[in-house]
Amino acid sequence: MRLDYINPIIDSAVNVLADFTSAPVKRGTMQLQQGSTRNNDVAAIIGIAGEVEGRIILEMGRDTALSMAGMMNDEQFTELSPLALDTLMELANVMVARAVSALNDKGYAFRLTPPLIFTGANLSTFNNLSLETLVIPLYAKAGDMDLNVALRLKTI
Amino acid sequence: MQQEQGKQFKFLVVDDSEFARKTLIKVLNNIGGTLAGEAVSGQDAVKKYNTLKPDIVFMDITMPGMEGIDALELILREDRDARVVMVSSLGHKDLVKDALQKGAKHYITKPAQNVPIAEIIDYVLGH
Repeated sequence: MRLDYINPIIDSAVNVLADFTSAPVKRGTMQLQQGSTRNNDVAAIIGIAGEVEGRIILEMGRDTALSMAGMMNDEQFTELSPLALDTLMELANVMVARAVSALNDKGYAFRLTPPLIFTGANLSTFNNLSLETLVIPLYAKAGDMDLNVALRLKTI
Repeated sequence: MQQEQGKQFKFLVVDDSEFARKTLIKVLNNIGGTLAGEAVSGQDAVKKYNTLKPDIVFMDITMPGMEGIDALELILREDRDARVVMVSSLGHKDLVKDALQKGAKHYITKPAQNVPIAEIIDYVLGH
């Protein structure tokens, strides 16, 4: 996976999280994921199409999800209500869209698909599309999250 | 949050995300705006614009069904003086240029709480 389009995605994720939590965000060590991702309770997924294809998943545990949605709405959530889930989808959407816009301005032709969100206990994701997956841990005020990036150049 | 002084205006917010609508409504109420209504798609926006006649519309671009750019064109076909501000998480130059060429009065990128919204309202209502 090329770092010239991975780095803007990570930078955007860190900046958007910091904006929404009004606190600095620490980035952990990027790792190549083998097999399925680690278990989490909430996964917001954005598809990427165009010159580069694949998907980006923002994953987190239930407590982090409640805390993050609470900070973004300035209210407390005790359950993953439709508003809380919509908030987390919008978070993932803004993170990826900001990077896609910067990349489009640099000449890449990327498009993104509307976000989808999955919830459950100990969700893990797996793909058999021969997509290299990078996992970037993000340590935010609301809790720890994983940004899971699986992209490849589209072959014609 | 303390309410800032500003122009009185009636606004319509169009976005399929409840969070995005809620955030923008809070920001606009805080600068003296009055909510005329909310719409969740392009079709809904066109219908509500015609019945509510807001002073200004804040329109998302990517929505299920009719997208914001198409709704912008339909609203302007009915009312050439409509003031529509596009609001999107996407902000690349081609998209912004296209929206402005099609008649949007301004373009803001999300999150809305990070933009100088009072200045944008003054500019748009003054033109």
